Order: sequence, then C-alpha cells, then structure tokens
Amino acid sequence: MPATMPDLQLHTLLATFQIRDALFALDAAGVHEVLRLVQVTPVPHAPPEVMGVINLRGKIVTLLDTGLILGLGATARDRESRVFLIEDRGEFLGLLVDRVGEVIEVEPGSTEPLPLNIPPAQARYFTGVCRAGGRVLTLLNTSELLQGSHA
Amino acid sequence: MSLSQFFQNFSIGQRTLASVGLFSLPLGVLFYFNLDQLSSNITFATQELDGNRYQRPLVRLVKAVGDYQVGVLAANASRGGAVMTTEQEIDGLLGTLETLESSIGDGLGFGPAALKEAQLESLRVAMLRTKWQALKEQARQPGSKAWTDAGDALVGDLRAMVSRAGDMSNLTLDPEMDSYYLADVTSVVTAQSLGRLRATALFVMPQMLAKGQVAPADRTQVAIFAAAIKESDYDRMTGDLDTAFRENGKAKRGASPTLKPEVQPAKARYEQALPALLAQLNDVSAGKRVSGEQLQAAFDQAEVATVELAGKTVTELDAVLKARIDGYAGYRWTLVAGTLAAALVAGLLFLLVVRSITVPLTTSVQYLQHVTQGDLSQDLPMELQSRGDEIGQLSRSMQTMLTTLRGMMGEIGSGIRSLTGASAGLSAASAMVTTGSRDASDKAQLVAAAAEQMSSNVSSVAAGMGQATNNLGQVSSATEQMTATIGEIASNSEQARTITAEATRQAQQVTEQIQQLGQAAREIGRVTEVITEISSQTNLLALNATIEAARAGSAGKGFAVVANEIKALAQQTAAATEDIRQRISTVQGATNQGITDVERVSAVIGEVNAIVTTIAAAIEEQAVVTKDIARNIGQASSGVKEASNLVSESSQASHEIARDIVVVNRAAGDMASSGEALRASIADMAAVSEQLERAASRFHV
Repeated sequence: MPATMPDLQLHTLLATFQIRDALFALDAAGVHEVLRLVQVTPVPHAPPEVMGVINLRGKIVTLLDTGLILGLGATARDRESRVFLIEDRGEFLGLLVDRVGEVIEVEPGSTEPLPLNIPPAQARYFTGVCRAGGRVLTLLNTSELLQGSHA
Repeated sequence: MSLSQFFQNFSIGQRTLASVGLFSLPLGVLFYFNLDQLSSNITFATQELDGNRYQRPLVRLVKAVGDYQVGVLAANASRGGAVMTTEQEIDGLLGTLETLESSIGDGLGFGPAALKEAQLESLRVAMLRTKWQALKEQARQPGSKAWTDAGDALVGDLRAMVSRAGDMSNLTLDPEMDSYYLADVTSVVTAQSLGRLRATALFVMPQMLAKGQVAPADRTQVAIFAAAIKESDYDRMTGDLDTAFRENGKAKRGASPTLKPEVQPAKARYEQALPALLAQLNDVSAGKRVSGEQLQAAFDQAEVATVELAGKTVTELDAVLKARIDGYAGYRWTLVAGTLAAALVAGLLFLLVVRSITVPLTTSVQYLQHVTQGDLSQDLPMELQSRGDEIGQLSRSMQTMLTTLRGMMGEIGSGIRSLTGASAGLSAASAMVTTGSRDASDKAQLVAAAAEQMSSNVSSVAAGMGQATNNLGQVSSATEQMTATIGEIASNSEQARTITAEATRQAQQVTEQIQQLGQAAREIGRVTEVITEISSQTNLLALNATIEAARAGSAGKGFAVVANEIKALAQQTAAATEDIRQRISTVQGATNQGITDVERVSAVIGEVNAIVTTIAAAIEEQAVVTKDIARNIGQASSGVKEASNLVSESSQASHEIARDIVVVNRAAGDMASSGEALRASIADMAAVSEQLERAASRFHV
C-alpha cells in the first residue's frame, strides 16, 4: 500500500470493474493489459481460486478467480468476462472479473479508508473506498491479493 | 254385599272346609280343657307321692324320739335300753330328711324362702338338728322339765312338718275317698297317735318305774290319756282304714287290689296291741298294781304296731296314687289318640264329600267347554246322567239340551251349504255376463274410435286435396322461373372459378417473395454480429490503449485522448449495430407473420374454388330435375281432382258408421253396469252364506 500512496498524491487513473453487482477499481498503472477469456488449462491439485493457466503470446499466465478470493462466489464466465493481466515479481497473473468498466481519473484525496465494520480477514484485500461520478468504488489492494494467492 | 253373595266368591271345597273348621272349634276347645284337667290331675297325684316320701322319715323320727326319751329314762333307772342305737337311727333319719329337703323340699313348701314367708323357719332340718342336740345335752337330767320340754319342742316341730307336708302335697285335699282316708292315717293320725303315746309314756313311766304305780293325783290324767288314745287315735285310725277299704274300688281310677290284703294283717296287730295297752292304762288309772316292765312292753308294742300299720298304709297309699296316675296317663293317651283318629276319619270323609260334588261338576264344565267351542258330537258320560242327586238332574237336562241343539245345527248346516252352492253358481253366471258385456263395450269403443279417426282423416284428406290442386298451379309457374334462374347461376359460378384460380397463383408468388425477404434479413443479422464483435474488440483495444497511456504517465496523455475517441466510436458503432439488429429482428418477425397470412389466404382461396366447382355441377343437375318436375306436376294436377271427388263420398259413409257405433256402445255399457250390480248383490249373498257356513262349521255335529 505505501508503494501506491505516492502516485495517489498526483491524479490517479483507476481501472474499474464489476464482480456481481459490486463495483471495484485497481490502479491502472499496475495493469499490463486487459484480455478476453481464452482457453484455460486446469492445474491439478491447485486451490479452488486458481482456475488454471493460459498461454498469452508465449507467456504463461496463472489465472485467478477474483470473485472466489473476495468471498463473492465463483466469477461468471461469459462473453463479458475479462482478465486483468498483472506482473508480480516477474510472474504474470490474470485476475478474472465479470465485466470491465472505464478507466477513470480521480483527484488526490478523494479516497477514504474502509468502513470499520468490515471483518479484518476481508479488509486486508482493500485499500479504501473512492467516490467517482456518484458511485462508490472499492479499491483493491493488488499486492495483498497476489500474496493471498501465493499463500 | 249380602252374606250369600260373599260366600259365592269361594269354591265349594273352601266353603265346606270352613264349615268343618267352625264345627271342630268347640270340640277342640273341649279337648284342650279335658287334656289340661288330666295333666293337672297327674301333677296333683305326683305331688301327693312326694308328700308321702317326706312324711315317712318324719313319722319314724317321731317314734324314734319317743323311743329315745323312754330309753333314756329306762337307762337312768338302770334298766338298760338301746339308747345308742336310737341316737344313730335319729341321726340317720335327719340325714335322709336333709337329702329330701334339698331335692323335693321346694315343691312341698320346705324351701328356705317359703318357710320364712310362713314364719316357720323352725321347720328346717338344720333347726331340727339343733333341737336334737339340745335334747341330747339335757339327757344328764332325764325326767326334768327342761328335758321333757326339749323333747316336746322337737316332737312338736316334727308333727308340724308332717302336717305341712300333708297340706302342701294335697294329701289332705285329695278328692277321692279311699286315698283321702289313707292320707288321714299317714298325715294326721299316725303322728298324733305316736305323739300321744310318747306323751303318755313319759307321764306314766317315771312313776311306774320308780314306784310301780301312779300317784292318785295323776290317775285321772292317765284316764284322760287313755280316753284320748281310744277316742282320738285308735277309733279314728281304724275308722279311717275301714272307710278306705270300703271306698277303694269305688273311685273312677286307680283302685289298689292289694290295699286290703296288705294292710289288714297290720291293722289286726294294731287292734290287738292298742286295746292291750289301753287295758293296762285303765288298770293304772284304777290304782291297780301294774308291772312297769309290762306297761313298757305294751307301749313298745303299741308304737311298733302303729308304725307298722302306718308304714303299710303309706305304701298302699303310694300304690293307690301310682295306679291313679297310670289311669290318668292312659286316659290321656286314649283321648289324644282317639281325637286324632276321629279328626283323620273326619278329614277323609270331608275330602270324599267335596270330591263327590266337585269332580262331576268339573267334568260337566269341561264338557260344556267342548260345546262352547262348537263340538256337539259328544254325549255327557253315562255315570253323570245316571246319578240320583242334583248333579244327575243337571246332567240329564244338559244332555237333552245338547240333543236338541245338535238337530238344529244339522239342519242349519245343510241349509247354508245349499245356499253357498247356489250363490257360487250365480256368481259365476253374472261374472260371465259382466265380462261379455265389457268385451262388447270395449270393442264398440274401439270401432267408434276407429270410425272417428277415419272420418277426421277423410275430412283432412278432402281439405288437403283442394289445397294441393291450388298449390300445383303455383308450383308449375315457380318451376319455370327457377329454370331460368339456374341458368344464370351456372354462368356466374363458371366466372368465379376462373377468378379464384388467378388468386391462388398470385398468393403463391407473394409467398415466395416474402421468403426471399426473410433470407435477406437473416444475412443482415449475420453481418451485424460481425460488426458487434469488431466494435467489442475495438473497445477492448481502446481500453488497453488507455491503460498503456496511464502506464506511460504524462507522456501518454495525448495517446489516451485518442484512445478515448476510438473507444467512443466503438461504443457508437456497437449501439448502432444493436439498433440494426433489433430492426432486422422485427423485419424477420413480420416476414414470418406475412408468410403465415399468405398461406392462410391461399388455403381460403382453394376452398372457395372447390365450393364454386361443386355449385356449378349441382346447378347443372338441378336444371335437368326442374324440367322433370314441371312435367310431372301437370299430370298430378288432373289425378288430384279425381281423388278429391272419391274422398267426399267416403267421408259421408264414415260419419254414418260412427253414429251407429255410439248406439251399440251405449247398449253395451248399460248391460255391463247391470251385470256389475248383479255381481255385487251375488257377492253380498256369497259373503253372507260364507259367514253362515263359517259359523255353522264351528259346530261339530
């Protein structure tokens, strides 16, 4: 989290997405690419949130079910399904989401901490909430998310 | 209710039993009193026996006390004597008396309570013992006043006891002469005599023993003693016994045949002993010298004879009383047995008498019950009719009544039978009449109905004929018009067939065109899908470009603007494409609807075509038929006219038939109702005769 904080001092670009009816956002700077869902190769003995691996132009990307990780249930797989490609310590990970929204620009200081009534087990995946265009977005803590998947 | 009515409620047996009971009642009362009298007589005599038992030791005690005192005097004069023996005898007799006092003393008035009430407590045996002891103690001075007084007191009590025993045991009350005199001897005279002998002896003997004679001053007293013994004792004793001997056997019951034989010898000895003593006493009183020993012996003999006579007498008295008790008991038994036997015989006679009345009455009643149930065939039994009493009379009268009834019932029965036969015949005949007339009536009604029907039918035929003639004319002209119209229809239907064929062809063409349109719309749909896909990819591309620009930071800012533009374009394209897709979808729906509609139109046209073809063929046929009809109508018209004339004639004939039938029907109806009335009367008669027959059949002649 401290790594992203300096960026937020300037104007920040957030890539928004939807899982079920919930709106989320992550720092667009951390995203390599947005992909359509392609053929997934399952990995034996992998935890349920690891959906398998995909081959992206010669790179092996591990695909994670973001809905499962966030406790919202398995993410739907349809024509609207999209994958955020993120690099983490030289390894590529894909975060599967229900649908992507726009990339929006937010003013610094428009983020707020999480409400206190969210249980700590869930709260560690989020950095805060953000108001944008009359809607409330939950900001995803990408590094924590990735750590959780490694664990 | 009068008394005779009251008695009618009971049977003859009950009434007879009641009269017998009434008559037996006084007899029963008499029987009871008789029995009671006998029982009290027996009790009376038994009590006398007890009195005798009590008196016996008393009499012996009187003698023994005398003996004892005289003995003591003699002993005092050194002349010896059986004093000890006498003492023992007195003690034994007192013991016997004590036993008697406790066993039968109460019944004889010697119980402690009875003696106390009579103020005679000195008569208890215990008191006697006391007095006896006192006498023995005074024996040291024999001849003294105290000694004599003690003896007198004892003897006085003993005599009082004899007397009380006699009174309380009825001995002195005995109504029979023999036993009365015997009881006088035992209860009164003996004790009195012994007492007087003792007193005389005690008066005379001390002087005689001492001096051999009595002092002159006492000689008169001796004479008085002697006279008293003679008058009061000896004469009474012998007189009593003589009377008893005389009276024995005169009593109704209980004579003792042994009385005189047993008592007479003792009496003879007494009649020797007493006069001998009296002779010596007279000598003493006359101052003659008399031996003291001789006098003593005379006293002894007199006392012994007296006691012996008394003993015999009391034994015989017992025998007399026992014989009397036996007599009474035997009489009582005879009375009871005789009464019972008489009652038994009377009861048997009663039963026989009652049965001789009730049995024939019951037989008669049973017989009359047969008659009540209608059985007259049995005669009364001859043994009833031949009886000589009132029942015989009743039976003979009943038999006569029965014979008369039997004859009457026979005649009535045969009359009823012929009546029943006749009514049955009549009934059958009348039934036949009724049935016949009813048949005739039914048939006439049938004919009438048929004639009526025929008449009305003929009338309607006639009317129909007229109508038909008129109609035929109209039909003829209508048929010609119809022929012309049919021709027009035929040409029109041909035209219609041509038009529908054209319509069918055009409809098929429209269908094909619409199907082509649908195909084109589907192709457009495929194209829009391609466009949608392209715009989606373009959108993603623009997004990635935006992200790339963001990663580039401020250097990518211009690039981000372009990317946003591209993205907007892609979104516009997607929206337009969606619009097209929706429209195409609408076109496809409309196309399909159009195809369906055109197909339905084609089907309708086909149907119309078929109908028109059928109509054309039918019209052709109709034209031919119409021509035939026109020709036939002409022929029919003339036929109808002829028929109409014939119908008018037959109508008149059927009217006449109907009138005749009505007359016939009425006649048959009259006949049937007469037959019905006749049958009802016959049925009544039959019912009456049946009733009579039933009534008569109850009587079994």
